[in-house]
Amino acid sequence: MSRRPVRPSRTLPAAEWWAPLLVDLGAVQRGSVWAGLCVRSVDLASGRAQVTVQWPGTPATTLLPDPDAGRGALLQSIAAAGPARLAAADDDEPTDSNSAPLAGHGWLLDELGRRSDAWYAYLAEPVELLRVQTDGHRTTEVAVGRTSRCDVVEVRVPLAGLGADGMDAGLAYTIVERAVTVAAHDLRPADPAVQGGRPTFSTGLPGEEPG
Amino acid sequence: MRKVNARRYAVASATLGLAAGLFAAAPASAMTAAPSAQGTSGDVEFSVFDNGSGIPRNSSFRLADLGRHGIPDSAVKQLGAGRAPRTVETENTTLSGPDDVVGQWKDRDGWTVYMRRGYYDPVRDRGFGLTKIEQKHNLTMKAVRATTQYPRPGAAGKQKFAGYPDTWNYFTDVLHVKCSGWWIFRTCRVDKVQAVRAGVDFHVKIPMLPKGVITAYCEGVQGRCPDWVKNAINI
Repeated sequence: MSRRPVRPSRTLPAAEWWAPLLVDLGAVQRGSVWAGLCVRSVDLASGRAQVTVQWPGTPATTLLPDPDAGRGALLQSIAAAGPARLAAADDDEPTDSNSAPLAGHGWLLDELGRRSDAWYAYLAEPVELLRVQTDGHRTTEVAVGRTSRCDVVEVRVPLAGLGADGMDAGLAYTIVERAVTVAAHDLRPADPAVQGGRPTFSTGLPGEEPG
Repeated sequence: MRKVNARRYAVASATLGLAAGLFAAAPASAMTAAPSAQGTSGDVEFSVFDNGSGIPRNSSFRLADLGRHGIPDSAVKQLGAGRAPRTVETENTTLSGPDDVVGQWKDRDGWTVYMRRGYYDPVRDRGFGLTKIEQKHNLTMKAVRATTQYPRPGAAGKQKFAGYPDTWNYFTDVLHVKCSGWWIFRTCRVDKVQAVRAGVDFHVKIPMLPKGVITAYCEGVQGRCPDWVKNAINI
């Protein structure tokens, strides 16, 4: 029998519940680089998505979107807080703006949402996506809960050029496997070191500096 | 007594006929393939992609019955003789860029699936396409093609993972079979089932054509699928 999502999406039953939201957020992020919009964090740990967005020089705004409401509704709720628009469906050819860090962050949100099978079918060890957060300039951190070990590994993904040349497709699998296979000596305590009652560590992608 | 002898003669004739056909028709690759059993008696092991023809998973069946499940007679005969039928990879390997299209075919529903050469960097564990599928997951283009052409029946075998643009996953089962007994009358049983999944992006890009197959893997298997998955006799 095939593996099933831990909590299926209402609209895409084979995908995890947060998958449509991340794909839609990716489209808004990539389409709004011109406005400086940064999808600062997507927190899924509570079982309800909390999305924090921010524009330069403004305080952050936190939203509680319905993951299955669709990108139109998502855009509407974000645009109520500041300028935003959707990326065109084929807006992923390499361009100067696509190589900007925020475009890379948008690409990563899309990649994580598009391949949610990585979280329940790819590996033997159970894992969960807890959080995606970015500094908007250099890195995005993907927090992976290692359910059976009762801890969390934050995998840092550099944003420079991410997704711009089409060679990063499948990165979601790399991130999940990294969280499970990383050697203990490649883990550093995260800041804070305990999050949600679980010890939390940080590491880089394979082949990159751990700390 | 005469009837029994007649039956024995008929079976022996059929056996000789099968043997003649086998040696006349067996491709060189099959003749040189590593046998999974010696001769016409003993244990034989092989695998098949579940093509929806109803290969029993919970009860035994005769090796000869595989013909009713879409397995070519030649393959059944080779298995009966204790030889492992092997298929020959015929994909073009002369191109060089990661985005080169190295294969395309129609899936179960007539959609065109593209396979790009891709790449795999084991140090960074990065990659996509055929190179990653072969080097990291020990699968082949034929295995991916079979997964998309013979997914599980109905909606369960092909499911949408994202829209704007579309990403789909295909699911199928590969059955590992053990047989014991004699010739094509061996008794067989499915002893292992491995789910295989393929993820395909159908959106238009890289110019004009979809990215295609991103990866394919054995569910819950970190890294390489067992050899018997890619060596299935019906792909």
